[in-house]
Amino acid sequence: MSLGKTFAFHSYKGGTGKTTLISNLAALYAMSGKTVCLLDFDLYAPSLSTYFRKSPSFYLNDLLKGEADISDVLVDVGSELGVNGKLLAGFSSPKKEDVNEIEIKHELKWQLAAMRRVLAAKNQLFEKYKVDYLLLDTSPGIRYWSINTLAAADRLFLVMRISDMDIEGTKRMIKDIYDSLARFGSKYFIILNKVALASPTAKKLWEKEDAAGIAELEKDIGSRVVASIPCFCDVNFNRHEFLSAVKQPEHLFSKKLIGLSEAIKDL
Amino acid sequence: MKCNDVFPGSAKLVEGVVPASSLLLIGPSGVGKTIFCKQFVYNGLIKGEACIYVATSESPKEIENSMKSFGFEVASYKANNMFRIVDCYSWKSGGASSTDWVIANPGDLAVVSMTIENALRGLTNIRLVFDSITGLTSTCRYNLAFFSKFLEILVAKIKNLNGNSIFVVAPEAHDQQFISYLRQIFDGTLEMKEDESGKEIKRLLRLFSLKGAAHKTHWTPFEITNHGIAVRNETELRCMMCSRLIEGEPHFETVGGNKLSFDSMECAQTYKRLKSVYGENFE
Repeated sequence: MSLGKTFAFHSYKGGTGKTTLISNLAALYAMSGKTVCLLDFDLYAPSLSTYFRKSPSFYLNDLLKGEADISDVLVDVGSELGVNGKLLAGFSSPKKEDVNEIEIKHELKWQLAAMRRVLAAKNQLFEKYKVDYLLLDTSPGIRYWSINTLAAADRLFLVMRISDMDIEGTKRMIKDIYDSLARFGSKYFIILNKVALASPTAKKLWEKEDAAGIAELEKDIGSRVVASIPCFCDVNFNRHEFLSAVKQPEHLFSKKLIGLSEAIKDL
Repeated sequence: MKCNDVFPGSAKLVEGVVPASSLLLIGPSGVGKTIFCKQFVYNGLIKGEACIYVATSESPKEIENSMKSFGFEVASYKANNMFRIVDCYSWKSGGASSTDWVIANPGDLAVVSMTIENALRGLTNIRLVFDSITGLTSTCRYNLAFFSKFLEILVAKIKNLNGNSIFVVAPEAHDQQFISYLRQIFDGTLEMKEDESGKEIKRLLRLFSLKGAAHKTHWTPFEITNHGIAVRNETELRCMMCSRLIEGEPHFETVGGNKLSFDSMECAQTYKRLKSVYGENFE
């Protein structure tokens, strides 16, 4: 098998910016000449197909059901972006019946069979497609397919905002799930996102990147912070933010994302 | 099936002579356990062995028709009393049955035991199929110790008659403790499972254990054909995680006391991670 890496982006709560970060990161790696595969395992609230504005013939849901191979599911989104490497994406179905099926219809036996198909597909991505980076977007919280996706990855990135709700939830999740996974080779890291820069209500600690504040948080959570990305209204509240890190390379958001891509590429 | 098969695939899985044994056949619903048992019975009949079929989910007529559809003609064996069906099913529809061994109340294990004993009367060198333990336990509120004793006595009786037997159980209907208990009662365990990793379902069989005979424990693929179970020649070593056929050197890991084979270190790690989160539910 190739030496490709599998990164999963996860969070305790929704709205932390996982999909935006992982999509931009995928595009940055592809721009740098790497072969990247981005899969949307947020099966309960899919959004990647909207982000890339794609309506594929086959979704990851079909792969889980055994009705499609990974080759049927993959869409080449890199060609139209003019990346130097390759950017392949697999989307999950936003159709109500498909989301419901994942949510309620299938019993554990089906879920385990689906997980085996995911692992077989992952092997194929590294062996046949020679993927350098396999990036997995997950559902927030502790749900069946969040855990499965995390188990399939080597490096786990917990995206969180600086709020007590996120911090306490993340700590609980680390204790309940991440520490179990870490016993078998998983490594997890924190990405702070949407960090307040100049909010009138922000604590002084977070008015700018504060090494002491981050160190305190790392100690509190028990994991390393690999990036602290400020909140940019023009990125985070854009109706259709689309690969800003590639399209606006001079933007501070892009520079932060490039820093993140460098910081984690060899973890 | 080859005539030297005691049960389907035994000539491929067991080295040398298959000892007279009581086997537990474990597998999910629909995998092919019942047809496996019918073939086991038919193979005994054509060798001149008497066969008892204890059925909890089919009527005697359905059993005969189903066997006939696979080319297992049993009418003549039934007529000369070599094939005896113990009917634990027809009570559901009022008790009318085409066999002499009908159990009106399967919830009463003493009645079940006595009826099977009656069916065994006058026979030696027999085969018995009990299809299934799951079907019987669904009809009564059983006590584990009492039910185990019932099975142990039945197994001992068949052993005294130098018989071979297969007892069927669907694991999804029972807790782990019950299945572990059952494994202790029998001389060996046959396991069946479905591999759904590809577009088509593959069926796999393995002889997990068998006292008194050297045997292979690899998962071996089988198919249900128009002529019954066909166990393929090659044994396939498949990854416990992704179910792929392992073509290179397998990666072995011991998890929960079992030595498991994996396609790669990554698959082994993922398996252990999922097992650590889901526990016994992840198999």
